Amino acid sequence: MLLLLIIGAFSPFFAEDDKKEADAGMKIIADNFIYRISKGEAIYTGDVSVVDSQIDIFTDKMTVIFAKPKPKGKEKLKPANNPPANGEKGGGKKDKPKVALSPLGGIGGNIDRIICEGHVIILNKKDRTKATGDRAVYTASNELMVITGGAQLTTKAGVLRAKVIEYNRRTGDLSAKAAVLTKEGKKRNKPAPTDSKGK
Amino acid sequence: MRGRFLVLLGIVAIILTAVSQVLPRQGVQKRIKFPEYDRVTGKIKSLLTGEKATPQKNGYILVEEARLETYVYDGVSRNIDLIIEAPRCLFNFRTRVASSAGNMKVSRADGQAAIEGRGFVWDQRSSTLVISNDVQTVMKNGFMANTKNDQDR
Repeated sequence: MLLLLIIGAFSPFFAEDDKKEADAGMKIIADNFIYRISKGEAIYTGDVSVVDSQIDIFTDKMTVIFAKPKPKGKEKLKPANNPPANGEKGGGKKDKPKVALSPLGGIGGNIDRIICEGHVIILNKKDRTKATGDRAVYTASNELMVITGGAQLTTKAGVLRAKVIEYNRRTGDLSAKAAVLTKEGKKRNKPAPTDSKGK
Repeated sequence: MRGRFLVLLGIVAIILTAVSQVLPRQGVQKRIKFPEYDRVTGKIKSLLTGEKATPQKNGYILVEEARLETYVYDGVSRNIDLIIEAPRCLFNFRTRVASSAGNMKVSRADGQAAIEGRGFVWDQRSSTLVISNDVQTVMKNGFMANTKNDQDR
């Protein structure tokens, strides 16, 4: 389900249509996988590919950090360092984000952050929109995706290069800091930060 | 007198060596269970089961048809979280580490998602899973929110 959030986070960059098609399943391919249940993190490394019917994500490393469990009811009486069983979620249906499941559903609980590092490419298969950068961080609490390190957004309208490209999934705002928009071979400086709705 | 003692000691050493070579192959157990408990709560964290367990050298046990379950708790009710399966793996009873160079599979209890790979290490104490090669995670419901999964937990 981390993918759920990944896609959810990035999808507004791209098409927001045909959610049913996105329901066709997806696959993550990587060389290695480390899942530390007690630390609440899952790490895919080595040519990581997230393949979906709508978008593909490519990166060198993808880390999923799960939110710390929130004690509920009587469990608040327990010491903070007394996690249930495997050190993970005790359950708790409250405060769950709408798409908050881990790579294997219940294993890690709600996602706190997703970090893609190294040659990050996010590609929309339908409209060929592409976002690239050295690093992309999605934070679930504010639903903000931040792409840094040679951040670039390529659309039919042109190529937007910026120091930082931010996408607010909640509001749909897209902002770029120190941005340069290249359109059909011409360059023009874009006031920073630049906000625009949608893609 | 001292010579006899040394000879006797040598014989005993030889016998012990011979026995130690044989014993690891003996004591095959069927349908084994190796649970791991949380030291604080006393609740079971994970359970390694196998159809057959054969003691090996250096404290290892060869587990065939290995299946490892991890658990999550919702109040007092225990739910299976992950299921790790491998045709065979080595389990070190002292370090509580299971490993294999072969194929393995991890799945959710409800079958909604699965990971396959080649070569893994499972540290039962720290509840850490490492898959070394060719990792493939497949999710049936793609990127769509799966409220059923949420409720399952």
